[in-house]
Amino acid sequence: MGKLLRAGFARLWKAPVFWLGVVFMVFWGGVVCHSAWEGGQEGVVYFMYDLCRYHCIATAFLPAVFCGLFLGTEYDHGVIRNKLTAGCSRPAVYLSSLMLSLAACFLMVAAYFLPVAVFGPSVTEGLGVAPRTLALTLGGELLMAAALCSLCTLGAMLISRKALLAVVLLLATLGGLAVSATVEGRLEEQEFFQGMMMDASGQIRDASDMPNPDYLRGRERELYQLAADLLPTGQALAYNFNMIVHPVRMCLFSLLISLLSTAGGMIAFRRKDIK
Amino acid sequence: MDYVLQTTGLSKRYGHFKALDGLTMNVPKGGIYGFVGRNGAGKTTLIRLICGLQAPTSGGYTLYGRKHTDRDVSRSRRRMGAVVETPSIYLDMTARDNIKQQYRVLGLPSFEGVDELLELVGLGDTGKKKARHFSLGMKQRLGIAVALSGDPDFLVLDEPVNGLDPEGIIEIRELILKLNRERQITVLISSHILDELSRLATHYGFIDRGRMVKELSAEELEAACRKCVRLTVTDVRALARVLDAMGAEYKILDDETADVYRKMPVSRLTAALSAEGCELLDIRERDESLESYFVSLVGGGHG
Repeated sequence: MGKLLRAGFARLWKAPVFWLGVVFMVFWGGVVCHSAWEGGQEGVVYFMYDLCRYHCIATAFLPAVFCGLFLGTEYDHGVIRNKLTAGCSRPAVYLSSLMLSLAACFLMVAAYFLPVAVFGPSVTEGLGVAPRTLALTLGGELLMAAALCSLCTLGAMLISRKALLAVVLLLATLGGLAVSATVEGRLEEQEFFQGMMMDASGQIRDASDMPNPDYLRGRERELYQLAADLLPTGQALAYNFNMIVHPVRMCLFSLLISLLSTAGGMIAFRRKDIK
Repeated sequence: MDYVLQTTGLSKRYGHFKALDGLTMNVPKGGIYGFVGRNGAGKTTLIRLICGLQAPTSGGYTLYGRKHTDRDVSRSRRRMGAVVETPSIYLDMTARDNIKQQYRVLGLPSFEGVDELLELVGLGDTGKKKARHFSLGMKQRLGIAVALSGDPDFLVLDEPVNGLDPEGIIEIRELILKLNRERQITVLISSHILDELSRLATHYGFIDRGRMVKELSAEELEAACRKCVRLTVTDVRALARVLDAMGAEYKILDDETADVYRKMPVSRLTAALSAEGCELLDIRERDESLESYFVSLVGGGHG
């Protein structure tokens, strides 16, 4: 597999999609730092913890774009045949593709932290959380990216048409984010109404004692929370908007998704008829 | 005889469609094996199977004596290069980078031989031009160069002249002959352009509906294809009398032409015709073409 990785990285360094991703993430990091500086001018306090989370929604799109355009080329140009005809095993081809997309995605995320590391300390008021919490969040973000990479690699190894692959991966990411936003929206519902309300007789009264019927309770709430923690796109929203409830569980779910999608993808790819 | 590739009862199904139906073939070492069949006969399917891109439904094959189910069949695959359907190249890379990329995939320690390979396929002067700007013929030659990386001694080419202009066809033909003669590379070449194959192949396999109809050497094929001489004369009746007198087998085609299935001294023939008051206007040697042989083998009624 080492030779496949060497070949893959040699191609990666020359791939425009990778460098565009890097440039975009550096730019995004700069934008976030600038916003924090502007907020600071208006008295809003930002912490490094905030800056370390604001890339997560952008990061959710990186595997879809990268796998769609970079790995999709392997089928589109037929070069995957060269690897198999040259005697490379299918598991090696699959795993090298996964490792390549992981490395590319992590490097693009690292590009975001470049301006954050340089400008962040001067526009924030310290870490904002305990170092352990920050480390857990950063680890969780990387695991979330890894889970998305594993899912997108699975798609890239099983869908032979590049255009279809790119559309499927982008729509799946967008769809995942839409579903997750709905789930998070329900979870964020207040238990009681806030402020004043007008009743049927036209009387205005304090509504703070009125329970919100949309508030999720009991088993239903647990299921919604499970979905939010399980979906990588849900995790992206949770990290980005600081709605993290079960940080360790989210990490474990990401790990599980990565392992299961890779195992399933390898089995399916082994049986796939390649044209 | 040593064989590079042998298949036994090889079958491949796609749903209910049988693309290969118990195909048995033998590709001898050092030859150019022309794999002949209509579109959809199963040529590309066979190539996909032997390249490891797909698994057979039943039956099997051996590559350099190793069964396809052997764990180390990949070692035999290292000895082969293939261009399946379209050339497998990165369009956003130069010819040199494409070959270097395949060198990396093969784990070769250095890029020694890249220039030689580029020269061999006539792409030595393409410089920084990206493969997407190459002509079809150049892409095909680059595909062959990529397949030749790692010095294989078995080259599999699937319809290599499809879509090429006459010049491109000649270039590919000369390249294949050069590889076979100078580097002793065994070539399996599939095509439905029979005239082109007949200029290259030393062995033939005729496939129809996933089955091998006939396997034979070029010599055997030549013997099987009857030669004839087509004569154009002013009086075909006089020609018939002369040919009857000579005991030749012939077939009258129209008032002026006839095919004669025997070689004969031209001076004797013209003298005899002249004595009958008949003039010989044209004489040309004709082979029963590979095409007509193929049609006679598989029948022309379907397809």
